[in-house]
This record gives sequence, C-alpha cells and structure tokens, in this order.
Amino acid sequence: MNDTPAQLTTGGRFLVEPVGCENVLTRECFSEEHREIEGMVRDFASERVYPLRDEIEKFDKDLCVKLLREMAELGLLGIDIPEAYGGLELDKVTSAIVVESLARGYSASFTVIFSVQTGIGSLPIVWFGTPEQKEKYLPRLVSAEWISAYSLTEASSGSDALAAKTRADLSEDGKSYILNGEKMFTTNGGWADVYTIFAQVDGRHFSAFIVERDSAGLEVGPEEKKMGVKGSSTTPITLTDVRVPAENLLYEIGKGATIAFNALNLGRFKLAAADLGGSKTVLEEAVKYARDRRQFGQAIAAFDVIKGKIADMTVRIYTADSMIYRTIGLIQEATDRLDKDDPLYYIHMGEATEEYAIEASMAKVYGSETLGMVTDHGIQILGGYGFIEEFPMARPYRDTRIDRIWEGSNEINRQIITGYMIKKALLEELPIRTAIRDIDAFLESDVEQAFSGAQANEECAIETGKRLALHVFHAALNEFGQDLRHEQQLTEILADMFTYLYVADSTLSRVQCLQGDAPVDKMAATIARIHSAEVSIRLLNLALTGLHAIFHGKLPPDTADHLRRFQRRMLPETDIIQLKRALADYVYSRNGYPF
Amino acid sequence: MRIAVLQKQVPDRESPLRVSDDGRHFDEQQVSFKLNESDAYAIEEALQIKDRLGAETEIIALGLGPERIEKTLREALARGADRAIRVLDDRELATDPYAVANVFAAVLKDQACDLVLSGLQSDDLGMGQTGILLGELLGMATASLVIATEPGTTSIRLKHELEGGWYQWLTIPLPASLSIQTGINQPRYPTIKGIMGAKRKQIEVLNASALWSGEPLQTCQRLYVPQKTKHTEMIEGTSDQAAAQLVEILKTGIKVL
Repeated sequence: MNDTPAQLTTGGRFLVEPVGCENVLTRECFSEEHREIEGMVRDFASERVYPLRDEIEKFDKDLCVKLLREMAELGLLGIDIPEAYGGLELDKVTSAIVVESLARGYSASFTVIFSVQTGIGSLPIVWFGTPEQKEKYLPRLVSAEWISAYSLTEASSGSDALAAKTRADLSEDGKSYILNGEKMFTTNGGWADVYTIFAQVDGRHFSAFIVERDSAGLEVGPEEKKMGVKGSSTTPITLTDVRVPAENLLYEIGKGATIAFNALNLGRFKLAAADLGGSKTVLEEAVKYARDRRQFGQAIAAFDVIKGKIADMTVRIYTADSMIYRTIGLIQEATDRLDKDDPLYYIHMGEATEEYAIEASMAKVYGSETLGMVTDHGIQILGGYGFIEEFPMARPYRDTRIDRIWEGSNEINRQIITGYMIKKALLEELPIRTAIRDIDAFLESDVEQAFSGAQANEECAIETGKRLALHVFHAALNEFGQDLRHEQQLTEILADMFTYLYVADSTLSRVQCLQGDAPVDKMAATIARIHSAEVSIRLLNLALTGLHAIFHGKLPPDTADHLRRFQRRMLPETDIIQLKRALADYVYSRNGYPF
Repeated sequence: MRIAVLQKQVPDRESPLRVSDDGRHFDEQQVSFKLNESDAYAIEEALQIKDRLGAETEIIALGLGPERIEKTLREALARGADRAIRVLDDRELATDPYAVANVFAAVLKDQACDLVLSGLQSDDLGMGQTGILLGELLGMATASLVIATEPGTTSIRLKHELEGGWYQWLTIPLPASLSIQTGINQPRYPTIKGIMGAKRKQIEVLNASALWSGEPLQTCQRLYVPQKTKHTEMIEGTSDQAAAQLVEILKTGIKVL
C-alpha cells in the first residue's frame, strides 16, 4: 500500500481512484481493545445466548430482557451513547464488532432485539434529542430498564415512508400533540416502553415524537406471525387521540425525514455487520457437517462440488468483510474530523454518514445477500437435513430473508447507490467527466508498465472494470439524462457494477496490506484472484445487458469495439476451479472461516 | 490482602492440532489460544474475594510463556486484576511443573502474597502439580480441588473435594496456595470499561532464565498423535478347535466374556 494522501474525501471515490491509493480499515488493523471486545462478546454469545437459542425462539420476553440487561452490565448497550447518560461512546468499529460477534449466539431474533434497542430505538434520541429528553430516556435505555422501538412503517407506506398518514395535531392549549393513526411492523413493538413514532404534523410536516408505552390511546396490536426471527416482537401500534407532551417532539417539526434516514443510514452498516457474523457461523456449521457426513465411502467435504460451495461461501464472506469494515472506517474517519463539543455534533455526524450513503447502501445490499447466499449453500450442503428444523440451517435460512427487505429494501438501496452516483456526477463532486475522458488513453496504455507486483493481473482487471462501469454510466447518462433514475432495471445494473467494483477494490486493498508469508495471507491472495476473475466476468455480462438497453438492442460499432478492448484486459488467465479446491482444503484444515 | 493468580494460556479445544516438523511442538500458526478453563475460576475467585474484602486487596495475575500470553494477562487485568507479571519462557520450561513452580516461586518470594490461587490443572498438559509445588517452595500451606473459600485474617476456611463424592471443610493458615476446581463460581466477562481500563495497568516483564537456573525434572522428548494399528490373527484347526481358541481369546485376550 502506498501512503500518498487521498485527494478526494467524498463518497463513491473508489470508482475514480486506483486500488490501494488510501489506507482502508481492515480486520487486520483492529486495535487490541477491539480484539478483546470481540473476544468478550463472542464468549458471551456462545456461552449465554447459544444455549438459550431455542428458548428465545419460543418468544420469551423475560428471557430476552434478562440477556439484554446482562449485556448492559458489560457496557454493550452503551457503545453509541454519551458517557453523560451512562454510555461509553466508543467508535463505530466497536459497535459493528459487537453486533457481528453477537451472531455467535446463533439467534437472529436476539440480535434483532439488541439491534433495535441500541440502534433505531435509541439513536434518534442521542442524535436529535434535547438535553432533557436525553436525561430522561437514555439512562433507562442503556441499562435496558426500558425497551425501545421505532415506528415508521404503515400499512400503505413502507418504502415510501414519507407518505405516512399518521397525524399529529397541536392541542388547543399548545401543550401537547394529539397523535392518530396506525403503525405496522414495529420491531420490539409488544415489549417496548418507549417508541420513536413518525407522524405528519398538521397532516403535512413529517416529524418524530417520543411516545411512552403507557400513553392513553396507544394500543399495541397482536403479534405478527412471521416467517423468521420468531423470537422477536413485531406488532402494529394503533394511536387514538394519544396526547404526547409538546416537549416530546424530537428535533424540529418537519425534520422527520432527516431523523428517519440518518437512523437507517447507520443501521445499514450495522445490519451488514450482523449478516457478516451470521455468515461466518453458518459456514462453520456447513464445514462441520461436510466433514462428518459420509457418502460413497468418504466425507462429503472431499467431493469437488462441496469444495466449490465452501470456497464460494468463503470468498463471499471475505469480500463482504473487506468492504463492510472499509465502509465503517470511512464513516468513522469522517466522524473523527468533527468537533465533539459542537452543539451540532450529531447533526454533522449524520451528514458525515450521508457522505458515504453509497457505500453504506452497498454494505447493506452485499451483506444481506451474502448471508442469503451462504445460508442457501448451507442448506444444500446439509441436503435433506438442511430442511429439518433440528438441524442448524433451516432457521437462519428463514431468519435472513427479512434482511433483504428491511432497513430499506435492497431494491431501494440499489436506487440509492445509482441515484447518489448520478448526483455526484452531475454536481461534479466526483471527477467522473475527467475519468471518462481518460478511458481511451487507459485502454491504449501498456498494461505491463501500468501494473506490477503480486496482484498486477487482479489490479488490471479491476481498474479496467471501473472504466467499463464509467463507460456504461456515461452512455446511460447521455441517453437518458436525469431520467436515468426512472430506468430502474438499468440503474440496478449500474448499482451492481459499482458494488462489485467497490467490493473488489476493498478486497484487493486489504490483500495488498498483508505483508506476511503465512498460509492465511496466501489464501487471502487466492481469494482476491478468484474474486477478481469472477467479478470481471459478471461485470462484462452486466455491461453487455446495460449497453443493449441503452442502445435499444443494437450496439454502435465503436461501442462494440470498446467492449472488446475492455474484455481483453478483464479476463485474467486464472484456473478458478483449482484455486477454489485449495481454498476449501484450507478452510477444512482450520475447521471453519479462518480469516 | 495480596493475591497472586496463575494464568496459563492453552490451545483452544476447537483448534486443529498438528505436530510440527521437529516432532516436539505443535504448529502454532493453526491454533488459537485461550485462558485455561480452571484458571478462569481461579481469577474469578480472587475477584470475588476482592469484592468481599474491599479495594485494599491487590490481585496480581502471573503467567509464564511466550509473548503471546500478554493477551491472557491483559484479559485478567480487564476482569479486574490490579497488575500483572509476565515471565518470558526463554528456557522452554513450560512442560515441567517443577521448573514452572520454581520460576513462579522466584517471582513471588518478595511479593508477600497471602494467597496464591491456581487452576486445578491445565487443559493441555493436565499435570495438576504447579499450585501445590509452588506452595511448598514458598513455605505456604496448600490445598487442592478447592470448591469454596472463606478467607480470614490469619487463616482461610475452605471446602475441597475428597474421593468418592465426599467433601471436607478445613481451615489452613495463611499464606496459602490453593488449586481451584472448575465450577466453584461463575466467571465474569470483562466489561468494556474493564477492557479500556486495562490499558493503563502495568504488566511487568521478566525472563525465566534470570529467575531460575536449576535443571527441569521433565522434558518433552516427542509429541505424536496416538497411532492406530490393525492386526488380524487367523485361527487355524478344525471348527471345534477354532471355536475353543476363539472363546479363550475372548475370555483372556480381549476380556469381553
């Protein structure tokens, strides 16, 4: 890695900057304290949560609250909460490590309950609350004396959250707001003592309120019968003339969207971290089973197709890990630049987080789809037993399905990724125009001169891939202009291209940081080789589909010619299958995810 | 009261163990290390004594091994130990409890400890001798298989396991060295505050070779995976003779009849 200072500080810059041009946060650079906290939470999860996972799944509020309080004693509920209110206010890396490590408990239900309590349930008050609101609620939430929930969704407004119909009207005496409406799918809804509820003041100013459980007129509806995370509470909340003291308005009238989207932005990378932890535990279960299960006279682990699946799972997890912690590192770095004593500190933190909205959305999409893919392979490796509840795959398979839907569906997040890229291109926050102009010179340059070192082939493929994505992006903007955002299938293609490139860039940057000659480092380099080769093929396919859409089925001759030139640099001569065998054997030798 | 607690780092049970090429060690690159199980109960017992007796009680975590054991000692500090002493095993003494006890005795002889707590035995070697040997070398009273403690000012009342499911309460004078049985208490997790605070606590580093120059009584000659062999014996003769011989083998050879 070279130490040249980065020129740009804006999100999305990976697309126009070369691999390894800046320090990226990786698991290998965790501090000693990070590692110790990780060890502590893993121990807690495997010793306290894991043995109780079946009890939790039977829906047991007392048990879950007891576990939450045990975590509170250890300080685990206060990572994002200021010291003045009983928290520890540590960095975001710690908060991701905690939620990732909690996955050792093999209880997505409990992780969800914890995530709401420490995330969307309390952070809006941390960020936007008045000192009085913080004083009143945060110490109770950080100790889990009270349980919290966040109520945004309604029957007719899910992704279109700002179209909520719940109303808030100021009472005649001006001392309270009167809330009316019905909220849906509130996680922790049945158990919470305090809710952040979104409503339209005067029917048109989207705002948020802190509402206590015992408010007259607040009624918690029946528990939803869910496909997964059955140990957690999900209910509707009905509000009938609920009087909320005016001082319980959160932030300002009409600022509900800022509150909602900030909470979601931060929630995204934490969800990604939780999915990452889940993926590692599922891989471990799959490896254990594959090594024990014998068919045709040998452990099924020895069969080539099983090796392929184990390798695919490992590559996916390693690359997700690389991009998720890089993203958290970027957001942390931007937050570190802020003045903590500034009264608007948390507002600026929200802005800093939004700066990396592209990366956060990518982390959410890639992280949730990683766990989806890993549990699917896990079921397949377990075969018939994968379908049986007593075996450890069916539940995570059901539990993870929601992750592609909540915290902004993956479809919405893909629109966010391309939407922000369009904005950054048009406002010239990113030098996309210059980058596009330089594509031809790049394609004519001497490859061997431009790329050297152990990962020269991978670097060349990824750098060419970035130009390819820019080429398609440019063609799409030329054809559709601002209306590109309405071409949703095309914007999804672009979002996927950008995401694959960010993941590949992050993985390669991480591998380049590893100096050692240990087997684990060599295997990381193997992963980078497999991944960049596979990603190149996917990028070319996506580009081809995208360009055909842009040119209505008929590629202009110069575009076809361009494509061939990209292709020449993006198909490294790599025997992916052989590399996967070696990777799977290494994973077997370490009894699970070894990185 | 001053309590020294021995903290040993051992390979995690779930790590794959592979004998290294020299045939005397295992391949550490593949292994993750953790605190020995009964040592976790020992440090917890010390912390509970401190909780009862108050802040004037000092807990010293003590370990012998390569540099990597710093992590284990840091965990003890995070749990609440006041300071730590790490002895670098520059003579490869770790496989001999007599040598280990001598090194620790040299460390502790000037520390004026009232209690030395150790885990009953280690998960890797399982010798179960270090705590008792150390007590003897320091001229302390000793007890093993301890499952409850009630420290007084000049003596300690304790419960320990005897054979056949029997227990015994006894009182022994201080200073004393106790080997702690697992299950005596519920070991705590380090808190985040503890982890952050451990950074400011001191870990003194010493070399084993500077502390003890004697000769170990045991050394590890060879490390190997138990070898399985198959042996087939053909029984000759008529069916009656063969049956009689088979019964004889089942009776006296493999003793299943």
